[in-house]
Amino acid sequence: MTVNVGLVGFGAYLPALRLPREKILDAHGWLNPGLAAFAKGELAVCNWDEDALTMAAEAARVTLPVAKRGDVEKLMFASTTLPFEGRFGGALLTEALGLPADALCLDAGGGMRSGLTAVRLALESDVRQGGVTLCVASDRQQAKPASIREMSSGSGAAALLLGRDKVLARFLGASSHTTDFVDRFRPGYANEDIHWEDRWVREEGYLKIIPETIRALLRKLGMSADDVDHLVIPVAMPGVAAAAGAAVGIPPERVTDNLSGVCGDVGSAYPLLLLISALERARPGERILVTAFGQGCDALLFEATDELPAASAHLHGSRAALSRRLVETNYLRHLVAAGQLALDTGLRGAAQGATPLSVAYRERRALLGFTGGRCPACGTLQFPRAERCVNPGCHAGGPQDAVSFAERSARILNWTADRLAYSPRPPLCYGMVEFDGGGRVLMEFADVGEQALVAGMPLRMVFRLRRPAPKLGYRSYFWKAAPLIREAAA
Amino acid sequence: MTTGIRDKVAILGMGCTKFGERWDASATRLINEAFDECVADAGISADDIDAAWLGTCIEDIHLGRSGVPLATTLRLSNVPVTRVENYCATGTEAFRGAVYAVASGAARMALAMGVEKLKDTGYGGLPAFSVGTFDDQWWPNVTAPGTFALLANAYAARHRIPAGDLRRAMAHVSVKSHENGLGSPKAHIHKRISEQQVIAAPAIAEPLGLYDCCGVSDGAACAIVTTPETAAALRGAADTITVKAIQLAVSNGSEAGFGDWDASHFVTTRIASRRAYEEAGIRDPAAELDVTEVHDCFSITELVTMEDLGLSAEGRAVHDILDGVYDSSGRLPCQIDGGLKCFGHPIGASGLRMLYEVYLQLSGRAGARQLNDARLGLTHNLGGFPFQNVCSVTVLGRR
Repeated sequence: MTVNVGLVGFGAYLPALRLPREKILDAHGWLNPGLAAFAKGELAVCNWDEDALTMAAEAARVTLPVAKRGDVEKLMFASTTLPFEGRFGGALLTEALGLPADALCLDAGGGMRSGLTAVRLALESDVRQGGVTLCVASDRQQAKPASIREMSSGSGAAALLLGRDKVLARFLGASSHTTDFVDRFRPGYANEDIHWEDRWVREEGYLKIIPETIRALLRKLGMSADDVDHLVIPVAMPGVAAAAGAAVGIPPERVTDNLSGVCGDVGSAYPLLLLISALERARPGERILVTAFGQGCDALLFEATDELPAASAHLHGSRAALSRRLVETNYLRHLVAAGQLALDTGLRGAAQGATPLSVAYRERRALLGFTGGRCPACGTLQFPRAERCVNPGCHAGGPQDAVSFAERSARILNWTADRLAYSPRPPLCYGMVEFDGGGRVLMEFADVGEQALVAGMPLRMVFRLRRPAPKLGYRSYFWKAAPLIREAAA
Repeated sequence: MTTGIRDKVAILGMGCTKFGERWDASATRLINEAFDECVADAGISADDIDAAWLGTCIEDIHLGRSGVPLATTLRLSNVPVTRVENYCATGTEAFRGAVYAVASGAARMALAMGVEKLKDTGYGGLPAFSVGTFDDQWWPNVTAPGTFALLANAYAARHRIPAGDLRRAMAHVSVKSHENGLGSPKAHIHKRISEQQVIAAPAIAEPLGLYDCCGVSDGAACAIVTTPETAAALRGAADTITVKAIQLAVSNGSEAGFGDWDASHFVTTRIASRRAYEEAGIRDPAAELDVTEVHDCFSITELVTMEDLGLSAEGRAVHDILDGVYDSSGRLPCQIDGGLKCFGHPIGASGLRMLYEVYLQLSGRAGARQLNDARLGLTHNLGGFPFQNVCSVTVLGRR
């Protein structure tokens, strides 16, 4: 194994919407008063136009500066909630991020540790000098309304960049353990998992399998519990992380907080998100042991380098992801966004335009990469990329240079909040967006919440579902403009 | 060097149905209703028509495509019939085709028919329509009120107009049109409203409320045009109403995709009206025009259009409107028949309905709402979105 391989970057994305757990208790306490024991803190939950793919794209974007995208040799995308099957999610990410078409691309999934398994696989395969592997894990989790799992099921995405140059955390080794311990599973037709009793999962699963795997890893590396400065146990069930640490002799102050109170369990992204959280706290020389549970366990050990603190300060990690926050005040609205409650949309809402796949492919750079044009004659930026320049003083013909608008900053030129247009979360907000440096596009605004839109407000582009996706049918994605937010009510 | 259309074509007769939620009538019934009035007014029969233009916009929910539905409905004599569509300016497009046919000498008498049967969709407002296979994949799910609300917000920002002042001026536009509509028996809506009602109405697309939006109606309107000589022979020279100008300006994408438009006005209206004034020989429109019918799909559209037509100074429409300049008793009455707001808006028919009102006013046959000695009138028919549209401006006058 190459000694100097490790993490060279990381990034996290959580949906801005946060559902206070007390809203779940308010709705279902009559049915299940036991929910009261869990009704503290909040969950990161998807807006109607977010899914595992859009969140993965956001996590990857913040992890990978545009200038480094050409260096990606491998893309590993893990999710247990891909919105379709028989179609590579990694291909859509490749287009959305503008990654090289010759990068090796793999979707991983099937179980909750698939994200960390993909990271191990990538670290143990050949990484060339200068090249990087992007590992992204993302899940939009759903649980049965009024279930205890609803109290812990969050959504989010996290990405790790692996390589050999300017390593932030060296990879020291890994152990894996596989056994068919079924704590949860999802029948092929369902959106929600079926879980076995918590006490059995805790005693026979978490507290036996995780410690065993940690011990195996330490043995393999000739280390002891004292060599671990940060232990990552991505389990939301209260007390499990500390108990698993105690089982191997690691005291609770060295166990990384499971962020259960601020975002919940985020599925296959959970181990990566908590690893990032540990990296944000680690000092040079400290070792981080990260685990992932699911039909066995993976355990990986990293050692922070001198490069970490400076790099961590400007990377978009868990703190940055948590700081973008809109509180969902309406539980029913959340259920509608999650597709768990079908309210009347009226005939206007029922009308859905189809997407011809030949058009989607021909225009993929525009639709997925938000690629417009720059006129070679006058330099005017424009979307869509045109055969003839849009500038009234130019109108030059000929091919325009491809320019992506995805990472360009922009401002609101004008806006409206439309209550006639169908939206799963009315009003539908849209308007003209003016890009810094040129370019004007009519766009939908995402994650508006209750803040007032005003002309001149700064915007960031986000990759989203265009319309509520049909249960059976094509899911169409495009970019929307999100106001830069910190905290607000939704 | 173009010579223009001025005084080359005259209106021989016009017809217009009762507009409204015509649950009783199909599109073909509406066509016949307008046509019967029109041929009676013109004093001719269907067999005298040499060519026809049919304007329908959202054809899939009523007549279907092509010129065939008009030819079969009126049993025309196998003459050329062309179906035209140009968003909400479709009606004026039908008229433009008929006028140009007569002006060219290709037809002695030509028919322009506009019709729309909208109340078979099952929901309020206009149906959504495609903006093209590619643009459908990335445009937001916009509605008409939403895109015109963008205009209102940009106009307020551009001229730093206090929200309350703009709100009151927009309300005045609607109150005035409701008042005027009471005098039009064929209007869709007959209801007096107050400024307070407009302001308190439910929001449709911020800042537009329910009473800022025109009705969606069924209806048809039509015109038979001919040469001024023929008109003079059939109706008498004193009663001849001629076309002084027809201009159409179409967006080329710069508003929506280039950074030099402030989103607070209509580029096309400014261009079309300047061309029309030149064609008609009008130097001072505010002084020379006696009546206007403009495309008041939303209150803000009428307000901004007053500036774009050069009738109010830039940024001054709010004050002119509140001062009553465009009221029925004002210096330059606008929407004397109730406009799109109250007469109604069956898309393909609206441009011809505007011409119908101006024609009646110039002919002195507008009944209770007849203005004193109207000699020159303008119609403004807009289609599309503020950032991408078609705009036609027509001037009619007594010869």
